[in-house]
Amino acid sequence: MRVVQKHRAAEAGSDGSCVSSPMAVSTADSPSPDLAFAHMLVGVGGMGAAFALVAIWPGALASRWHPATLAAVHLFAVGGLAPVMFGALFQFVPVASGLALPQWRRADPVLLAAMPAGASGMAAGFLTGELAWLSIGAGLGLSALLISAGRLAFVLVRCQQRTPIVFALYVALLGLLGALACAAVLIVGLASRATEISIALIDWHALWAVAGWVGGLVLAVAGMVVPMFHVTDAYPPAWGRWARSLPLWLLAGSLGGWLGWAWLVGPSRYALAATALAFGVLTMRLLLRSRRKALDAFRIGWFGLALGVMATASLGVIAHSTNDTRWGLAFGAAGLVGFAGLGVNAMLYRIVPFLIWLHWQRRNKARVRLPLLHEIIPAAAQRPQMWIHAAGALLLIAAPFAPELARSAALLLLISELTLVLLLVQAMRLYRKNVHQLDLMPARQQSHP
Amino acid sequence: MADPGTFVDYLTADHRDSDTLLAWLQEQADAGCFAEARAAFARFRADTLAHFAAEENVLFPEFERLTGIQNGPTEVMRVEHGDALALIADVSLALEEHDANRAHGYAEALLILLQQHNLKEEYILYPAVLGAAGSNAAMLSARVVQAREGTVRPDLQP
Ligand code: HEM
Ligand SMILES: [Fe+2]
Ligand SMILES: [Fe+2]
Repeated sequence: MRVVQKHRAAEAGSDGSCVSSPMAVSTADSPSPDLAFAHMLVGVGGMGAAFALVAIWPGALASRWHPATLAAVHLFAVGGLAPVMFGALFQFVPVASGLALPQWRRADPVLLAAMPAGASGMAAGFLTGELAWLSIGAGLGLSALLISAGRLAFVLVRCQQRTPIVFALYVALLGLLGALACAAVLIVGLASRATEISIALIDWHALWAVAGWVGGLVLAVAGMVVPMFHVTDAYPPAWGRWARSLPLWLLAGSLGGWLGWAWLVGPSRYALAATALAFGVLTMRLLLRSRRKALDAFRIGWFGLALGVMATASLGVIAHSTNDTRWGLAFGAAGLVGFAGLGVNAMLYRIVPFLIWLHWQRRNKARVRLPLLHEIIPAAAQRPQMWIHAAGALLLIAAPFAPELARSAALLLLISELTLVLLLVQAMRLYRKNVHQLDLMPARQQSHP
Repeated sequence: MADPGTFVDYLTADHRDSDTLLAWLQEQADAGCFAEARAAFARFRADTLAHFAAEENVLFPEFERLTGIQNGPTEVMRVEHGDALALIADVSLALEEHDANRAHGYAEALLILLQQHNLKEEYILYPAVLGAAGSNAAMLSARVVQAREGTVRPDLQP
């Protein structure tokens, strides 16, 4: 048995060049998962805050323009999804591209804090109608997301891989930039008290964010995770080529909305819906053919995600072709909570235990027996949490049509997020405790007792 | 096989085969079928060791020679091979002791470890070697296949 050494290759690619050293970075070099964990905890907390808000103001599900709706949406998206996704990117980008996202020791905690702080400011602004709060919150949120987007862009343009996964990361980046551009215009409009705020612009802000950014990240992650962790065939190559058209539809639709060209808006929305539906169907088909049958929380989550994206696409088509605004709300709930929320939840159950385990393993010179993956976050707790989340998402999608469901939906989702926070905190404490003990133990010579 | 393709296709197919074996043995162990699980595991281990040997003895040195990078990606890959070997020993022991819980846990960790390892090889390292090898790709491929099918390095045995 070879002794597993801590290697010294980390510096090789830290300048971000992938020319001389195409794979200088991997999980092996990630200094410690603490930064990613902090992002994930903050993000799950942000999602919980959004659901708490809906539980307090269940009227949020009654209208798109209810202040509590706008507040909850941005607590969820800017204070929740954004930190989790950027946290996960610290781990994902090196594997997908061979290049690490640069970490900024001093600035990273500030950048992270700016996301929930900005989201809270925006929420306060929407709820009170105070433009000052809204502007400060939006300023913070926009800056934090733009800087984080810049970091991702910095790595992507340096990367020479042209795999479908890297393309999907480009889609995500474009989606985020598109959403932020629309958001900036909206905020300037609101702050200057413009009489007319374009609803088309709000629509496309939301679509860039959900279909482009969240969708692009999910595509990137799915392209890698579904075949590998569920042990299935890969997505068909034709799908990879089609998926690249995603930003095109977003661009065409927003231009159409801006210029008032309805003939361009409709088809763009249908093309987006078709893309999302195709992704859902393909993912479902792969999952059903998976060579791994155990129905653990991870698999439940991916089934939920596939159903969620299909539901989102269908609701989006209906919402576009009717004047009944409740469909638009259901569409938003499906996209944000059913699709993005469930996806994030499932990924956390995979990423967090593995990172913890890997960092233990690398320090386990004494070769002591450590908790197993499914013990780091107890598998028995994962499944009910996942089901509660799925049930809450279903109720939330139904709530625009049955307002009495809104509060139960929000409470279920709040319980789900709080449980998740608790499980993650426990896992991270276990991580710290064992790391500390492992560092104190002497190395063992032979590999096994 | 009519067209043997390059070592990239060959080693990638190897990765997929071992994923399937690993998933299957995990399912068997979960169901308490230890004889089947151990049979699958024996094949998995032999394949994986030979695969690692082909990479470490032929492919990685070739990368290092062609690019002049010694302590870079190949070193990371070797470390991960080491992690995998430790886990293979853990799975082996758990299967011998008919401990389904531990077998499941170690096999799961092994699966994830190998997935992200294989991904980096398939998307980054293999294409880099293939590109750098240029017109020598066919010969390199033949050497890789030979190493994979012919050798099991004793010092890679857990
Ligand atoms: C810091 C960045 C952001 C700013 C400044 C911002 C700003 C805004 C503004 C001003 C509106 C219109 C509110 C109104 O009608 O008065 C809006 C709507 C919306 N935003 Fe954002 N936003 C940001 C990020 C995001 C992100 C990341 C997402 C989703 C992932 C998102 C999703 C939405 C949705 C879905 C709506 C429409 C809400 C509805 O139709 O009820 N926003 N945003
Ligand atoms: Fe390898
Ligand atoms: Fe390999």
